[in-house]
Amino acid sequence: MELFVATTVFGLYIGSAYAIAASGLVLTYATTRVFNLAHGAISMVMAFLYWQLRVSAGLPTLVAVALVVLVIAPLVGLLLERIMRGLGEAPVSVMLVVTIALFMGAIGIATQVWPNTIVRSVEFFFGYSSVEILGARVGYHYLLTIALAAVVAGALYVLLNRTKVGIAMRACVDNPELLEVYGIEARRVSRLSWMLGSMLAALGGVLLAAYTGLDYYSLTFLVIAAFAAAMLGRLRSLPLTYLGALFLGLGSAYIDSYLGVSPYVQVGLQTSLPTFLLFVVLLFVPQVRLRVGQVKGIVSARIPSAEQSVRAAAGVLGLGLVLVNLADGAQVQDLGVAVAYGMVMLSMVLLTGYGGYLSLAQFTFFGIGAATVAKLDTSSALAIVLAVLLATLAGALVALPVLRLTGLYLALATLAFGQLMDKLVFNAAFVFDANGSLPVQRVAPLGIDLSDDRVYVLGMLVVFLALGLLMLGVRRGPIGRLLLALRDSPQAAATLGLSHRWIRVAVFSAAAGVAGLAGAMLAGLEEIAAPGSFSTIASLPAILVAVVAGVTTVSGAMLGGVLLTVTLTSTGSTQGLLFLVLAVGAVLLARDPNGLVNLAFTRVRRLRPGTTTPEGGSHAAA
Amino acid sequence: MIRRAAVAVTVGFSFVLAGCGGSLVEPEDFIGVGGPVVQGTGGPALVPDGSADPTAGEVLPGGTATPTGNASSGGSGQVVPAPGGASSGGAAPGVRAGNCAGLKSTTGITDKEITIATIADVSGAVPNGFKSAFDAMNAYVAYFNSTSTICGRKLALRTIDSGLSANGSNAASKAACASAFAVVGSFSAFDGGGAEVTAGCGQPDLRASAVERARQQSPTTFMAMPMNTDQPYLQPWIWAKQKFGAEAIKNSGFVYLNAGASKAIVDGWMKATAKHLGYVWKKVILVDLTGVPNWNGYANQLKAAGITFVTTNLADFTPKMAAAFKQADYHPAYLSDGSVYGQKYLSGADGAAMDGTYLWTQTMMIEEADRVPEMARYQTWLQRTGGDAPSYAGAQAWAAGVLFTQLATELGGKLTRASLVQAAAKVHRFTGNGILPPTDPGARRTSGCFTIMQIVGTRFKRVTPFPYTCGPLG
Amino acid sequence: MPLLEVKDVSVRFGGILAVDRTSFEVEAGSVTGLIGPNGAGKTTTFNVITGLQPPTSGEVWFDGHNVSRTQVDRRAKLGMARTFQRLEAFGSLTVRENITVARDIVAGPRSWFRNRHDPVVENLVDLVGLGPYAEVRADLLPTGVARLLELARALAVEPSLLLLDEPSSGLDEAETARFGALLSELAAAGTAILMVEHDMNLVFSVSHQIHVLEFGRIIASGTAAEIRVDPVVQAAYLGVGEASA
Repeated sequence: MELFVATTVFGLYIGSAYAIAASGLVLTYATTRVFNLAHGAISMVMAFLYWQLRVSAGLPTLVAVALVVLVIAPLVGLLLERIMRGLGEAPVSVMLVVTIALFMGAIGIATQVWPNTIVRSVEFFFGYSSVEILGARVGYHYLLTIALAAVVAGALYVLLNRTKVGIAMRACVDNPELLEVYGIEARRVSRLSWMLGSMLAALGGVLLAAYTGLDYYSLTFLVIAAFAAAMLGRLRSLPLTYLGALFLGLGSAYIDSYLGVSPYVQVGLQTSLPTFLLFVVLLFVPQVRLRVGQVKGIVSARIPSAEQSVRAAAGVLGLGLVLVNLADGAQVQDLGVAVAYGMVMLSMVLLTGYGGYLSLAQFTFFGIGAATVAKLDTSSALAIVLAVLLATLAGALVALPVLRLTGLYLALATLAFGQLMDKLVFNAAFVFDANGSLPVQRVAPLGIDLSDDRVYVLGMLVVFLALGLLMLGVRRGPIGRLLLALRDSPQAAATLGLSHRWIRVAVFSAAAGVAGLAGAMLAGLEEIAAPGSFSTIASLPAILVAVVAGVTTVSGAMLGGVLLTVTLTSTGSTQGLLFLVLAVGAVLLARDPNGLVNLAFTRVRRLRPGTTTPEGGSHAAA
Repeated sequence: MIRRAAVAVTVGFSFVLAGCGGSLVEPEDFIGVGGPVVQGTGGPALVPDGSADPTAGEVLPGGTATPTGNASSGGSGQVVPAPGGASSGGAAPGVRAGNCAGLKSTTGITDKEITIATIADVSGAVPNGFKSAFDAMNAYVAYFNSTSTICGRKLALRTIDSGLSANGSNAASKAACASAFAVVGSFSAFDGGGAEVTAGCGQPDLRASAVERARQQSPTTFMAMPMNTDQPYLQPWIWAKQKFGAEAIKNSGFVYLNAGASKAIVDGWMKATAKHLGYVWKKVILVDLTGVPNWNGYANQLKAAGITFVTTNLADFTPKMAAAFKQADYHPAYLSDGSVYGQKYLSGADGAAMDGTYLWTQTMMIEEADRVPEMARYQTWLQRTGGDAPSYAGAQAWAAGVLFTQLATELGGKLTRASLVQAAAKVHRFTGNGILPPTDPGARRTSGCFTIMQIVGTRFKRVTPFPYTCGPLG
Repeated sequence: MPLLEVKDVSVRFGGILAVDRTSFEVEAGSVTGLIGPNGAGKTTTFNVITGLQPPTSGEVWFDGHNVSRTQVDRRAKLGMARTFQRLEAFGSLTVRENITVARDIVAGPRSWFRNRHDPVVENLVDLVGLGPYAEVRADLLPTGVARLLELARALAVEPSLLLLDEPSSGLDEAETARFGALLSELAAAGTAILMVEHDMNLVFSVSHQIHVLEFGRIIASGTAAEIRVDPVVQAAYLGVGEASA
């Protein structure tokens, strides 16, 4: 009984904190259609701010909490509203890129302001004092959190059902134009919801910080549970969201206390419960209607002719030859990493640039490729073929169950997939074991000796260029046109009789296969595979780099490969700074994801007389 | 840095992994005897192979050693007595310098310098995880160069960050192979990465310690503080059984992190203590940092299961566990592993909750520099070279530096990668001039010697007698 | 049997009823006008017919089938095509490519693996007068021209029902007149046309049947002549409409 009470209270505590965070997420989504992936990152920054005020500046607890939740958080909410303005009407991929940029930017800011050189922690409210309930000791902090969740729920109910602005907030998720008809200024509603959302994120963060400790990532990722809960409420229903959050909190607590299986299975179940729920809920989300009135014409980059492409490829190969011979051993490896990451970028050009879909787990497919060659442990080139097949299949497996769904849900499904792979597969004993690694044999296709790093890296470059040429060929043909049409306006394409579903599965699988190829080839270069190098989190900066470098062009993929190598191999606060720079770049470029490469090309072309190119006049509707 | 470190999974994990060594005594000699095996510090460092049997006649009667005296070696007299203190000659203290004729320039060796590399986790999810290995090696190289040379060559140090990941460790191993003569004083949590690279390169890897089996068993790897996951040490639990009683350990609980190497090591501990000492691990809790660890839940589960003795392997999270015990009004006998041996854990928010708990260390105590000259030397030079606070990992890296310079000095002109590997394989009794209890790097035998400490207020206080107590392996 | 039947359709957004038990029919070979003030539910009705918005209640029948639960693309295959009030041209493709894509869709996947020449594309470019713009990217087109492109693109799939959402906005007077003539030709050739339009002159000149919506309800139905004199309509809407036209 004592254990039951203690477990239940703890489950309610975690569930309540999830609920508070999730309700903020739902509120902002419902009123602005922006699904804020950075919600957890905001919680994280707010928790650090609370530490700054409470521990570093030594303010009384109540003052520190009030400053963070009632003063700073609403101000941050206003800033968010400014950044997100109009995003709800932009394509889902743009919206997600901006929120991912915020996500990484928040982590970047935290690493700069609070460098990880000291252990930071905050105490529970009321310290260790607890009360006895039915024989169990229960901390006051937990009880307070549960009570606060109830208060928040009540307040939100009154706001949304008893006030004019609240009723308008509920209506405008379906049809924002109605707001104007009913005489309520949309921006006011939007500001209010961002302020409230930010406050709820802050409150969740402050309540959890004493428990989780202050860490850039753990609070940021807790929000996955909030996603799952929010999704259970179909991103609208607050009661269902609360129910989902409490279910998750209690579920993981009960698994922890009562499930009599081996500790390894138990810990796997417990940590993957939110992700698992997210995935399952996504499977049962009803058909989501296509949205009308989106931005069009994102791909504005000029397509080179076949002859031009081949010439450029030859030039790049020549440059590669020179670089590889100038580089020392470690630099050759870095070049190889850049080529492999370039292939990942290429997969994103196909998926995001042409297809308009966003995958938050492209590095998971990369990992499937790496894991496959590591487990096969052979120098036969068939290992790479199998790696690509498996990655392709995994891509189809992710895309198929969510066939009916559109951008946001698909992106979340990939996130859930990536997390599940991280937790249940890559770290499983039969793959890498927890944080283990496996040696990888380098392939010798048809008996060709690739044991020299330089030769191998050049081989990778040839594969990259061949893929690039193939992609440009596709882009020039009917399939390229169809993909762009689907991307520019899925609804118009649908009203012409084109179903996006099977095309999406095909594009998704192909992109996954390319990423898997990159992973398999890089593992061969490094002669090792370890899950740390392809955790889900690596996919997020990859998206930002893709947008900044140019996600619509093959040359953008090349630049992206280099940028991503620099970003992911840098360390500590340097990396944090790079995240920040990328985040700002992505926010600025998200609406025109042709990126730096295209900017450079159009500049050059403009300088040359006699050549005219249509300018990419693509801008968000808002 | 993401590429080379998964997120939360690795938080704090690196600190769990140190804790290694090699036993010199048979179990019967010590269980229940209570008299500590004492090994003098500053004593002879090396016993060539064939001249000593590390397990025979090594038991020293308690209380006979003096910290600065010469210890008995049990060997055949090939050991040169230590002059004590820093030597001013061309050789390291306590080592007979070999003939320098014929030393060839090769990778990492020039006419003027011998370049050695240290690989450690500095960046990653836990920044500065094993930076103390870099600091210690910087300090050691500065110290060595100030007093000695190896055949007229100064030491040059190259530090390479393994970034708290297998890929990072792999890349670092490749870089070290290409640019340094030997790897010395390394400490990485994912050191299995690149073990094949180092072995394939034939590069001697005289490490502080090793964590993953692939590295522990690599043919060119030798650890100042040897660690063999398949040879768990028992001494901390022998002590706990005596201290808390045979009844308490019939209801034991273990809370530990779900991280590869750590998991394997803890599993080994539990099996061995159950088999040899009668521990019954009634409640085993695995903590995964990618979820929300339910510290209070664990406390309540342990309490509900009637657990009377708890061991944890939780690194940075030990204070949280202790705090949860306190909050649940649960007061078991509590022994933590050495991963929490560091002042910063006591000064954090939940540090106070650890007051009164016990933990172990395998090196000499950081706080006893006044009694252990080599510990003092490490800390002095650490300060002179601007290193961060001393730590057990740093002490082990320093000892690895001692091992390298002693062997290199002895080999003189015969120093090559191959000869250094051969020489290291023959070292079966090593103390790093007394900064460690005796270990057996040559046989890669887990050290069984410990000091048990208690946390009193914000200090680590010795419980078992100075300098250390040894016990059997499981 | 009418080609399209909208039966008792309602759409609710949160607490607001955007379409309120609306019913009407569209005959093959006729032009039907749907008029009403902003927010009356016209575009929402279009979305319900084409499948972009599931109705809260009610049914849509097309060509004798109940298509209420049919996917958007399946309805298109049955012979519906539409234009959008807020432009949905494929902005990164040229005008010609926009129409080609529609033809590719009609031709099916087997035709997707190589470029081919389709004479219908050129015919459509000429039909709506897009010749000078054929190679211009759609997102660079003036609004009026983009509407013509959407019309051409919709015609490319050879629909039996064409839904036009404010097709004339952005056209000048002469273009509007030509546009009206084109609509009449299409209807004469057998295509059913349902049109939401603010230009009353255009609506009254080409429509065989007109329905007036207000607050999601049909408040009046009839021919142009009947609607012009309907007192309810005049009070609710036309006065305002004429003033702003």
